[in-house]
Amino acid sequence: MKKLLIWVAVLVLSVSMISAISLAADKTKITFWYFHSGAEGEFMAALADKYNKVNPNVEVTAVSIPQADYMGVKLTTAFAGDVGPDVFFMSPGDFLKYANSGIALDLTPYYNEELKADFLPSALDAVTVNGKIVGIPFEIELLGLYYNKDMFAAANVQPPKTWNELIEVTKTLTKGKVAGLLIEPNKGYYQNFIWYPFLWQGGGDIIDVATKKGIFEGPAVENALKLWGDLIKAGAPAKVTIPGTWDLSLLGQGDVAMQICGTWAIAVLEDPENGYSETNIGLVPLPIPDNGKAATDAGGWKFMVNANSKNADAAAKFVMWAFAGDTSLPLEWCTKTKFAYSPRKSVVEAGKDIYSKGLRKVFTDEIYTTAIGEPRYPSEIVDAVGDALQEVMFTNADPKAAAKKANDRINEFLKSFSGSM
Amino acid sequence: MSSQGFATVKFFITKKRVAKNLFAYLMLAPDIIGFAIFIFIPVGIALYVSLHEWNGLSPMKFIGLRNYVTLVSDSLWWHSVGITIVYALMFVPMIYCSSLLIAVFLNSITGKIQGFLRVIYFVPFTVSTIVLSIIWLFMLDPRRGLVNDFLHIFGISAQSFLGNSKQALFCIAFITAWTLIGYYSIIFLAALKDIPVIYYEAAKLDGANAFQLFKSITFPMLKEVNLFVLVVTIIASFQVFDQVKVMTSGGPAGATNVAVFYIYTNAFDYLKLGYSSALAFVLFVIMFVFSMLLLKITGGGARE
Amino acid sequence: MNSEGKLIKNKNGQILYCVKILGGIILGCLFLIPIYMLFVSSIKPTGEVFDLRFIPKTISLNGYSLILKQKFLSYFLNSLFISTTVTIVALVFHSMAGYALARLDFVGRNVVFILILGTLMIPFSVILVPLFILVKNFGWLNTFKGVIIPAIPHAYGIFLFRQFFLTIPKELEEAAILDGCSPFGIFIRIFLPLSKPIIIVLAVAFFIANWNNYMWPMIVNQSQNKWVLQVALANYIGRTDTPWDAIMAGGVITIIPILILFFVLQRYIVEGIKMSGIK
Repeated sequence: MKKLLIWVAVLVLSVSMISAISLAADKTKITFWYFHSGAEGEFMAALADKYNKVNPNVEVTAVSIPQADYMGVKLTTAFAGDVGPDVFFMSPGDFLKYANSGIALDLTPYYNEELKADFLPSALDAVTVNGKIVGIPFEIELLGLYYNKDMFAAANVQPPKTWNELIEVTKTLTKGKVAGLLIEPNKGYYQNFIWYPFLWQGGGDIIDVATKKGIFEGPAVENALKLWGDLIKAGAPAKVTIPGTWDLSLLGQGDVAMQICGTWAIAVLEDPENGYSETNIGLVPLPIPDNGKAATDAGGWKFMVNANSKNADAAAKFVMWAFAGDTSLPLEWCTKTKFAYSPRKSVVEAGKDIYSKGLRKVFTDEIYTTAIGEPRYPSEIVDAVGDALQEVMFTNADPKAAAKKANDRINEFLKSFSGSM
Repeated sequence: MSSQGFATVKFFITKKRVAKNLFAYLMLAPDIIGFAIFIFIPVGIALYVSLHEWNGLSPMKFIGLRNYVTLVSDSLWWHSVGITIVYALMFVPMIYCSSLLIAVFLNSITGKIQGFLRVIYFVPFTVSTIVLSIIWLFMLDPRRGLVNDFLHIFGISAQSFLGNSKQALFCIAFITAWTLIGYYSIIFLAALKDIPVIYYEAAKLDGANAFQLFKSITFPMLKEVNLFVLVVTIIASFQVFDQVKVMTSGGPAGATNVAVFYIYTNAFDYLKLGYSSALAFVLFVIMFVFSMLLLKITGGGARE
Repeated sequence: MNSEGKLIKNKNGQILYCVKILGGIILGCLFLIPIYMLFVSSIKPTGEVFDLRFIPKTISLNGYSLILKQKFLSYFLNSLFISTTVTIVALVFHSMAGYALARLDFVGRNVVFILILGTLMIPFSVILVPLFILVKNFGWLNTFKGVIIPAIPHAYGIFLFRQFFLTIPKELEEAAILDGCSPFGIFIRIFLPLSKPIIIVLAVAFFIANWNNYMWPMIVNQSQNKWVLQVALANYIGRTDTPWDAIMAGGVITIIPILILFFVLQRYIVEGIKMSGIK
């Protein structure tokens, strides 16, 4: 009997060893979740294929997730259930929570000095927490004011340079079914993103990171809130449905005269399938207040690697290969797939010609230097600011009172926020 | 009867009773097991989570009842509960009255035309939330939407609808009712068809008019279905979420920030999974009290 | 009453009936116009979908060809399989439970009923994470059973069955008992046949609810070949390049099978045979 037991034990041991060896011979599996659609989605899916081809012992699986539920429901349930993806995208609103929780792999060892020098310092700062680099910036998106030149010529007005001109032109060009201006009316992270430049132009801000105190108060804040209320009164639509204001189609179709939108939208204008080429579209920097200084957002999601992943090292190598290695892939992403600035000097240098083509020249020459990194405030703060903006826009609330309410909420939240900012 | 005989009868009854109970629970077993695994266990876990601080990323931290203490003074939460109650007060009468009226109307016409209208009224129910939200965003577009074009004929100026903090909640209630009316009128219709014609004939001989017929026969005979529709639509109105998420994201200016949307925001935007669970249990208690009152008032819908 | 008076009354009645039907059709337009907008948007080129014109400027079937080019058939079959399975199993389970709650006398009936009804009041977003963890521990992620099985227990159908079974006259049951019918026999031979209308209503409702379900299948399934229709549709919606014509076309295609199902089944809803046995 004892002998039998020993034999069984030996058998079990050897079987498990064999399986362990064959497992080691298996490919290293990496899952990569993206939310992009259209050409951007195709690029992300192709990324996995390309990497698999040059690394036969690795198998990257790219999984497409509907954008509306990517960050919220999908990633949250996956990480709560301990089955999060190895490589994923991170929105600015959730960046700190992931960075502070230890889910984000420390990527500092993967950045050598040469690579660090290649990235814009501000772009690296945006992914650095407690001195550790926990993400990979791969695009910088800027905002500008697109306008329909023909409509401006017909009404004999010039593109607005100041807030007052913006309000006046909006009033002038709002006629019948044509809206003078399109700003994002729906509350959310995107609305804040579009609004922040107006806050910064007058010198306002939301948090003093050093003291962890809310500074959402004063004339700069109130004026920026009031501006958006005035724009709604001047004729900017209170509800924009489909397509959203992040898509330039409405401007392309001649439904609106002006639209605040980002670099990415140029691809939509240039796509011959859309037939917008006959619409005469111009671009100027965002209008500024009297005595204000020009500002725009430099936004964009970041890559993160799951620190709890079994194959974290392989996953990190995959992302570094994609966006921190050779310039060809980042260049393709930033100039062919979509239009954005690369956070890497070498990539911008390699695509010099493209960055001065058509409307891109306006971004490169007039807007790029005024960019301020999109803040990575947690969603609670985004929400408090968003509520203030909504109240001023849609309930005629006093900007001062709305700002105070938001600032109190921000301070309340900061008291309980223990991670680094 | 001898005492021995009596005992046998008693024994017989008990055995029969056991069999009866056993049979009842066997009939219930598949669903009860399903509920136990896929609802009660998750609810138990959620209850456990509600005593913790948890963002789904780091380990849970036990904080006792602090989440429940916090929510008592969370003015945004109680505001969202208030919005939900306003929504229920709009939605429940809207859907109840219109589907009952449509059912009575359908019941009064005969033949193919009834079948035809039934199918037409039912069509909205087949459309998924995403698609139906897109169509209604089209219909209610402030500048180019069909509804404003229609109002324009009567000289009414363009409305913002979902972009107006005073109209948005009503629009959501209307759109949700629009999708469900055809379905609930079919449920009512199925019940109406079961009322024996003989009752109406007898009352007509007594000279009752149409309203009296409805009041004294139709309505009482619909007791069971009434209870079902009321309970189910009240619960649904307390849980309104999908349309809000797709069409307004709680806006404009928080006008449609209903309770479940607030819970969702806390769970999946703020990653406060513990706090959102606590909120959900409070909402559950509110709904439960409402429903129990309704059951009590109507006597559970059981016929004497 | 002379024959002339009767004729006038009939004539009035006829006019009234016509007015009624006209009213019914106008009401029908209220239900159909948004659906027409869906249809008409699906045959516009993608750039014109949001011109919101009632009559399209140009007609294009691009949306349909785009969506059918994808692995549409496999998503369609996935949805069909999931919805059909849930519907059939749920009808069997819920009719049994509804019968027990309505017509059987057993210890704890009210408690069980209230427990079941209570499950309706739990917001799905609160059990989302626990349910996900549970299903993951069963090893059901990326499987159809992970989508199907948790969708089966649902108080809605049980409650509706209970309410309808309550209305069935006691006399029918008593007669069957006298004929020596077992309780299960009564359920099969009397209650189920008499509930055809409500079975149809629920079958259609279950099917639609699962056919249009998006959140849970999206969470459970990662791999694209397990996608259901609604997840595939939602996946098109992005920041730029969203093919609105294809989404609209997908919307039209997804409602067609349900409409056919309803059209075929709906005639049984009005049979109203329950009372034929007794007066």
